Amino acid sequence: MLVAVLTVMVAGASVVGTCVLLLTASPQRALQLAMVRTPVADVEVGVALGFPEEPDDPDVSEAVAATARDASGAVAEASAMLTAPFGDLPTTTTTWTSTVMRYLPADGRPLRLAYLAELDDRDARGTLATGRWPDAPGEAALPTSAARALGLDVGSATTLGEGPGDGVTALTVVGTFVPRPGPAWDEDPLQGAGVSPNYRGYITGYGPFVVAPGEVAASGVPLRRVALRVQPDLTPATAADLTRAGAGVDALGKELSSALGDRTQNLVVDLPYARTVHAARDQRGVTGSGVLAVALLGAALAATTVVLAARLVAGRRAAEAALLSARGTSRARLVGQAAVESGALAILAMVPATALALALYQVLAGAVGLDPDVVPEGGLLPLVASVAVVTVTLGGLLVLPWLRTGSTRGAREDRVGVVARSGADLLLLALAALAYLQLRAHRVAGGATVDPVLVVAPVLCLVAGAALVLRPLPLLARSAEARAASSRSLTWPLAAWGVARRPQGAAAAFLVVLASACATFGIGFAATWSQSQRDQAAATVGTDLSVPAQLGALGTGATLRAATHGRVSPVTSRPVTLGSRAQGGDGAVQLVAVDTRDADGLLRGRLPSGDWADVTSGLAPAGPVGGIRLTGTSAALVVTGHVADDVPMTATLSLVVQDGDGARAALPAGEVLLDGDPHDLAVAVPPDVRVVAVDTRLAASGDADDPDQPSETAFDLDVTIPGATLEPGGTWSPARPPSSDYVVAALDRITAEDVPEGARLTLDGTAFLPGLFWSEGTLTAIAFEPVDDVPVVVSARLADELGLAVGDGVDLALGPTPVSATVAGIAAYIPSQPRAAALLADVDTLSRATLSQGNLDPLTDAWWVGGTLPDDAAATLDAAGVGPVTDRTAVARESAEGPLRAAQRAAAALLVIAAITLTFVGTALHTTTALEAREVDVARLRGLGALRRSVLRSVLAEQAVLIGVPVLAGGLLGVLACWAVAPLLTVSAEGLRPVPAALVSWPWPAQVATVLLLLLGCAAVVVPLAARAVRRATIARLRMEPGA
Amino acid sequence: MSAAPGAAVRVRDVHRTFGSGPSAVHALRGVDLDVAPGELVALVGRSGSGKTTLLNVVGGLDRPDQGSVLVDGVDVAALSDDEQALLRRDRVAFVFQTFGLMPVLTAAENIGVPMRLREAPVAERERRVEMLLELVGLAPHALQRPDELSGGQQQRVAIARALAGSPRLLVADEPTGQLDSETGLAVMALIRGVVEAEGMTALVATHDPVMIALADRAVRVVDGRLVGAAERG
Repeated sequence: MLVAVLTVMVAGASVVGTCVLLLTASPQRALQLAMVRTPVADVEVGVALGFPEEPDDPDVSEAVAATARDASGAVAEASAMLTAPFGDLPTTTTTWTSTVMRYLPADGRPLRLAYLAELDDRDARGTLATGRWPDAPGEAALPTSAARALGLDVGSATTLGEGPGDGVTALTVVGTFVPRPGPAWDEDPLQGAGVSPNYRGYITGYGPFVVAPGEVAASGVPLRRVALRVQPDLTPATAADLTRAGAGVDALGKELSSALGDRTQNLVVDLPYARTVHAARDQRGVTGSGVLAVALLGAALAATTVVLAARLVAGRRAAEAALLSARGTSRARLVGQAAVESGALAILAMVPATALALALYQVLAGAVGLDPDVVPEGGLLPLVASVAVVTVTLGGLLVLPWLRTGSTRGAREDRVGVVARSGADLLLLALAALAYLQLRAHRVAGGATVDPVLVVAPVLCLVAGAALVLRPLPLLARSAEARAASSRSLTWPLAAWGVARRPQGAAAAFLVVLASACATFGIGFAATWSQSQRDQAAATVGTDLSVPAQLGALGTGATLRAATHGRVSPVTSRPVTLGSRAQGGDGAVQLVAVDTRDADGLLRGRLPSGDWADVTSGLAPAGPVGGIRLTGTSAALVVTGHVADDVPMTATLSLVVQDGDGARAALPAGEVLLDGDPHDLAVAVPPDVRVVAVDTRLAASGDADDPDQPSETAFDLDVTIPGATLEPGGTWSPARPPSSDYVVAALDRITAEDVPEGARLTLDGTAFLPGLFWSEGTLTAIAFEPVDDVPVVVSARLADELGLAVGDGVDLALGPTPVSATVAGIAAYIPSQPRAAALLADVDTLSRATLSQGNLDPLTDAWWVGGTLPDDAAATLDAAGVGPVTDRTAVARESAEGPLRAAQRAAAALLVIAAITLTFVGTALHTTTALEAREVDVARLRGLGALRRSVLRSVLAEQAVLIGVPVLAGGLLGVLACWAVAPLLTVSAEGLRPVPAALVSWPWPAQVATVLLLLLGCAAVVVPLAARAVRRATIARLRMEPGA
Repeated sequence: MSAAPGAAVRVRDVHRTFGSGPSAVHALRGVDLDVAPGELVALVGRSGSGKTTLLNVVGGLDRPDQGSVLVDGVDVAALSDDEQALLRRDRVAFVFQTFGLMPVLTAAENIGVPMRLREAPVAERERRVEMLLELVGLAPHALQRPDELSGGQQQRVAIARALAGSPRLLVADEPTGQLDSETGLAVMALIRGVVEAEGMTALVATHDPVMIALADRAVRVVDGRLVGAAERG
């Protein structure tokens, strides 16, 4: 018996001790692992110094103007401040320096702007296409798109000047490059596009002209922006390093503002490191709540087992106590003796409990990938202290029955006991109901702190449930007893009588119910939690694989499809302005546009009802896109233009081409004179594309004051693409610029036809003078019916916030382009934007809508891939340089199994192990004691002529009911608790209600296996004990009875 | 002691020793005893004389080291454990000094146990239990458990239980040992009455002179041997 009690104390204390280690030691280790595994972009710190476009403006302070001309001091200071928090850890500092815009040579063309930039990580930001990077004064490299648009190539020379026609900075092109996609180009005013047609009003911007190190300062062109980013290498970081860095980074914002704020026009501090650390702390808090809940459940189980053991021990020693009392020993002395014995047991239990907790921690933490140290960081003090507290507390519980020794027995005591038990049960129920209501209202504390509701609620619900489940058992037993009375035999009635009339089984039944409930609840909750992490990951990623769009987006889809064999879609994902809701911040409205023709194959994320195909039906455009099918990888254009009235006019052409996956991009073709002569242009295109729009920027020169100048003039433009063919379907139409635009030219008619040499597009239009002298005329021919209205699905949050209903109209703005939309449906959330106020549209419809207004801005922000993909799809794409890839499966794995969440899984496993172990120990304790007390009865039955096997059957039947029914009832209670509580306990990594809402998961095989394990394990304990008891209870025992 | 033909109990040269070596206790030393059917025999002797051991051997609760015990012609010592159990179930009933009742069963349920062991029809069992309760005067206490009954009432329940299976042999060991004299007298009268009424054979170990007087004959046991008839009345 003492061994069993000692085992319980060791088990209980080691469970709590292991949880304490998971709470104290593993978070530090987890934080280390998590930070090392975090992408470098998420652990960097940066600051951007902004300067005015006109530093000589009298409104600009001297300090700002001086820094705009020479920022070396400010940069050195910022660099030192950014690296300081990381102490001795290795860091990499990158700097972006760009100047204000300057004018390119006029050459009789519309105004054009460009700027200089200096990059100290050029190879990381761009891939050389031709030539080399500049390394001498006067040399420059520029993006291929800019070079093509400007007609520059290696060896070309140009200048940048303060005003149109000035030539202050002479540059020779020594290389062209393709910017690598990524956040590095966020610093660039053109975002790495190389060309922006509407950079300043109708003035096109080009750049950057990347110059050699130090040449920006030498050029004398004032700075517009300097951005520094410091990336620490956290591989060798200790927990102390991370803590120190966290504190230092937290203070960086104020320090940088204080030091540099008066020397810049605007200062933007970006601290992804701080955000990552705070997110990690949030996750740690959420995980801590789960671990503490397990510790509490483990302690409750151990306490229940010890109380059971205490009652059994006291029962066994009742005669001895009575004898001692009769001989004059006071109750205080008896209690003192019991306390000394319990204290000795507690002390005896401490060492093995500490060792077991340490071993369990090593095993569990190792199993979930935390790679624990042999001696946990932070030392063993928390472990030893917690084990000591638990063993002493459990020891104290052993003394409790002795406090009642000698109290009067009888009906009055029973009534008091019943009332007390009922009161305790009611109190438990009330507390459990309160905790449940708190959970339902989600009144839990998000963030880094451990939430008391998340900790206490499961414990209260399970303990109250166990107490409640036991209530009807006596009634059932009495019913069975009544039925047994009418039986002819003795075997089953004897079992029924034993169950119904021996109250000693209640404590054991409570333990078994609670333990079984803990085991099934633990398994169910773990499954629900894991499933929710997968669901949240699916909703967050929105698809199976997501990659940011390359700057030249066309053709990426083919690469993705070849590598994954999945369903590929270009995606628009960006904040939009919706009515008064501006872009940016938490309240920004996010627009997501995907190919909705096979939404179920592409979109991921569980919906409360229906599927994504239902939600997105009606978003895709009905009519086809026509266009001109190109062959090969280069489109040769022959452009011939005529202008009536001999007004000198040029046309700058761009082709909007669409690849096989529906991605569209405008490719500059070049500029031609509308002089009646054919001009050859060439555009490099990806294979298998078609032209879906032709954009023409018309410019004219002339004397606006000339009274003979006509007010309007007709023009025509003939674009022939040799070898191309017209695509069937679709109708060529002129785009309709927003009515607010100042119209200086318009298309009157568009004719598309196949001709012997290829496909020909003829644009007939009218130019309005003198407006065309002052600004370009934008004319776009589109190969489809113009789209004026985009059907969208809005998120429930957005619908709630704006009171939107199906059929309502909403006005969006994608940058400068207004888009009219109509609410076609409301979804719980929008894929990839689970918590945002967001809209979902079809990317083809959206693209047609923007092209219909002459907006050529690319809409492809990312690529999504859905379907049954190869396991190594993400790795293949990463290796191919298409990335970074966001893999839904990997995100889900990180959410469920990442170092910061791993302790939760370890704790759940610990709960199941502890519950099963304590069930077996409790069953052994109860059965041994119960059967020892029954041996005389068994002998009497043998004396009356009962066969041994018949008695054994009866004893086993009784024990089967006493243990088996509580196991099954507890299993059901665990399942019920899981159904009611697990979805409410499941929170996101930030401690928020998960999106989509958690749905209870039933791992039936595991649940059934656990219950079977409990039943079989208990049987393995009970059957040998019962057989031994029946064997020992021979009729010889009757001979030993006094007088027998 | 001569053996009566057709004896209900026939004990021949029975020896029983507990332990071995110098500390061995020779409980029975060559006991011979015949009990005729329907006879009530009292075993008389001091504590430790071997009365209980003889009863245990006769009732199949113990096995002799030597000799034979025939009950209704069946050699009890040669039976297996299960056969002995069946013998006790069908032919031999015990009444213990400490009553030996099942504490969780009511008086009626305790009385019904032997019939349940024989899987008697429910109606027959209920009738007999009712009759026996009437017989022992405990009908009003049928639903009370042993700890709610007095010692005498418990012993009467034990007797009723012993009779429930209609045994051929009733073995009683100090059935009045823990009862006051008045209750003991009532119990003894009950045993005498049911032995006559049921026509069973009874072997009763007792110190009580009243019981001895009520017996058909009394046999004295001294140091594990039968030393002749005891003085009666």
